[in-house]
Amino acid sequence: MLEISGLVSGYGRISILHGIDLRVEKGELVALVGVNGAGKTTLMKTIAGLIRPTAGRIAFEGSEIAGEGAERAVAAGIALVPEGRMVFPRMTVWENLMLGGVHPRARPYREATLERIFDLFPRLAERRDQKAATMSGGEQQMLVIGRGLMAQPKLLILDEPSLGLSPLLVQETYGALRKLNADGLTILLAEQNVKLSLAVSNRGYVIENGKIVLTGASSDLARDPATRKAYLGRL
Amino acid sequence: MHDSRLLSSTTLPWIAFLAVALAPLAMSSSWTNMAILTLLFVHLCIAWNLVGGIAGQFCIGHSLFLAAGAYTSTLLSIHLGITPWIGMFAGAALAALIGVFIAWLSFRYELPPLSFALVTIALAMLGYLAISSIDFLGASRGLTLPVRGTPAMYQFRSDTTYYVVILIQVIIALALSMWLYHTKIGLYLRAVRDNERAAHAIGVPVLKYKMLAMAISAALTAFGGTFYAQYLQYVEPHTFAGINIVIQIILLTVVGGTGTVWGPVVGPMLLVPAGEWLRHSLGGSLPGVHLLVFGVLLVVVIRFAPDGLIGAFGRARQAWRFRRGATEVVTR
Amino acid sequence: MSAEVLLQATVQGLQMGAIYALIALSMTLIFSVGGLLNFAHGDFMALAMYGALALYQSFALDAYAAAPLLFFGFFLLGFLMFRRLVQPVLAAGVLAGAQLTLGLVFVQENFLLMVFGGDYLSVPTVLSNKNLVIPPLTMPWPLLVGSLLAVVLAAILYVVLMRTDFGRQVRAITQNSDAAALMGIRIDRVQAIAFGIGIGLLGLTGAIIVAQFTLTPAMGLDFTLIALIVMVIGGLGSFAGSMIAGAIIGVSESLGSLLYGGTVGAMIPYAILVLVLLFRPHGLMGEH
Repeated sequence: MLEISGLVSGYGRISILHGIDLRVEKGELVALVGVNGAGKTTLMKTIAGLIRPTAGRIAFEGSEIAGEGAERAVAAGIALVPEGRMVFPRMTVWENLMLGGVHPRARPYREATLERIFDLFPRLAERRDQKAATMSGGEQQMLVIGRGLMAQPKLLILDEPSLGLSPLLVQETYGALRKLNADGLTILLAEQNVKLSLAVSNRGYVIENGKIVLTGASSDLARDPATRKAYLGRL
Repeated sequence: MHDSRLLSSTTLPWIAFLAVALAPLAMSSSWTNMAILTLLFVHLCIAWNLVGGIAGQFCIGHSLFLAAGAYTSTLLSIHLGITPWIGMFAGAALAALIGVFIAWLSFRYELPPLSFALVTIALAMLGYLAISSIDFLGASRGLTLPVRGTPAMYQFRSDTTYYVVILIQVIIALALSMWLYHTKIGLYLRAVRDNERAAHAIGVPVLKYKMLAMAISAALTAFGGTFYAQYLQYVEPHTFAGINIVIQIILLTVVGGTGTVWGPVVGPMLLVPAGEWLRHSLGGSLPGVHLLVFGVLLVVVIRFAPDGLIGAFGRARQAWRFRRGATEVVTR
Repeated sequence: MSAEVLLQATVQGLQMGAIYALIALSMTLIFSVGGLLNFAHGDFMALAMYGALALYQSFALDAYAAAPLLFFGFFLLGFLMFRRLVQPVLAAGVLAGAQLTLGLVFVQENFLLMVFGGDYLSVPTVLSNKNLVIPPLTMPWPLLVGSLLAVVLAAILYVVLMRTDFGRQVRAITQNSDAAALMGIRIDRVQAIAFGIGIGLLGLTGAIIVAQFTLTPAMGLDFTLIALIVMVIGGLGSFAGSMIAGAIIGVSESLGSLLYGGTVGAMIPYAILVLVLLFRPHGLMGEH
């Protein structure tokens, strides 16, 4: 579904990613793990069209989307749930969700998707008319995941969804992701939380200094001494 | 190597500036008026740029300083017979005081950049409205300076003398601006412009330097005000206290390049003569047409070089060097 | 001074206030597009007033009938101007944008001076010089109609911004443009349309209040300054705030000039602005 090869990207003249190869098949839940600053966010933003890559290809369902902009990525069926939540603070939960489905491709299904999201996150239904800025971090995280789903994505990309959440809320969030994946949604997940993300995913990539250094089935990666030493040891 | 580069980056522009600035002395007297006007704007732009460019405070209140200079020296001359040579310093002191107050106000109340612009515009309008209604200040009719005709009273028979006076003022202002830019003060001011909080955090005394920049800028502007009043021999609110002249000063600086040493010199030196030329060649045909063309010219420059001609020149030079470097590699 | 005169001045001030609020709201709309402070705001409205004059002189078209025409014309002008001129400059920073609009002040004032000359002009309309008398009040019809239309237009703008997808997109861009891009919102296009609507509203406003004013090429700057004042005092982007601020400025200006003369009346709005910026920097109704 998503096929990335030789991707070089960064900010201005500074390259952060130095030739990334990565693929996600339909129906998979793929984890991208690495420490802070390894290039996870840059990769996510480049896929979502917020950053124009300097070299390499990003093919989504066979068509090239590298450097075509965020609007093109959304139209193709990619939704990014960004790091740090980025809600629209002075708008209500309902307005935030409506904006998630404002793209012409998603607009006709908004009401139906809204019902599904309220089923998945009942808390959002309760807070429907509350301003996003007044909600807790966990509620905001649910909101941005819901907002991403409103775009009717074929591929949902999440950047650090567990950051700053209490263990209980992390469990809840990951439970929701697992459920979405079981219902057929393809998910690419970038995480510092290696243990947890490898536990829920089918396959994983380890990124270090802008390069993929290790890849394989998540269960193998979790057992791999190199991964364990580099990342799991810290947890 | 280092010295020669220093020579080319500071001395060459000076030589070029003086060559152009002195040229009108060799030309017929009909050019003198235009040259005086041009240098007056160079002077005012250099002064504004200290605050609006180098310190990055978008101040629209400089009409207050211009008026302080013009009205103080004029009133002292009319009522007490004090020569404007002394009056100009009284005007500059008053302007500096107002400037320091504005800087303190904006710092004390932590005004964000655009609010600062709005406060200064509001103060400028209050000043303009006040001056136009106070009889002692001549209200909207203005004041005419008594004819005394002696250099001791800052009055000259020949325009050339006025020209020399403003040229000396410009040289002083330019040297001052250059010195400020390259010393610790300029460094601090630019740090404040780029990130006030960070500057404060690393120990830059932000308020002190903002007040200093404002005081110097205001005083220089006031000197320009006294000069302009003496040159025109009258003062009135629209010319000396209206915000139109501030808009002109800002635009001329922007075209040259805000925040640079030579931007406020280049902008007026190119555009004031261009404006005067347009007035001569088009002014008779339709009212306002020369100013319209002038305005379009300004907008076009801002559109294609938002960082001004100095910035565009720098980019072009860099691109040229880069290309030359690339060909060298290829030929090797 | 009799109570009738004070009442008369207050009502007139409120009516002017409604018009000020509408001008300030279109300025807020433009400001919400990438933070552009439009110093040429009033000049666009002056341009529209002269446009109404030209339409009257050429086609005997009444200003009120010309209003929709001026809206669409100015919408188009704003849309194209944003694409070709404002957006590229705004990319270099909000200060460059503000400086560009200072240049536009110059261009528009002198364009009007060139085409129409510097004399005071007025545009005759069906309502000109007619008064509605409800003792003890005497209200000029142009001002009454202009202020009522201003309230209606402001309400429509409010509904568009708060209750439509387009309005939500505009607000989303203001609140977090990166996140807005992630929603697949075409930021450039939404901004150009919003800018077009802001300028279009000025075209409309100019037409519906032209009967109340005497035209001069330099009239725009005063409106710009009043709009800035109302926008800031009302708290950027607050609809109710702009309405209240418009009323405060309109009434204080009107009562001030009645009680203390025209100059003091004109000074009051600026004094209020300075005080509000210092003591309530986010306006009377501003958020955060």
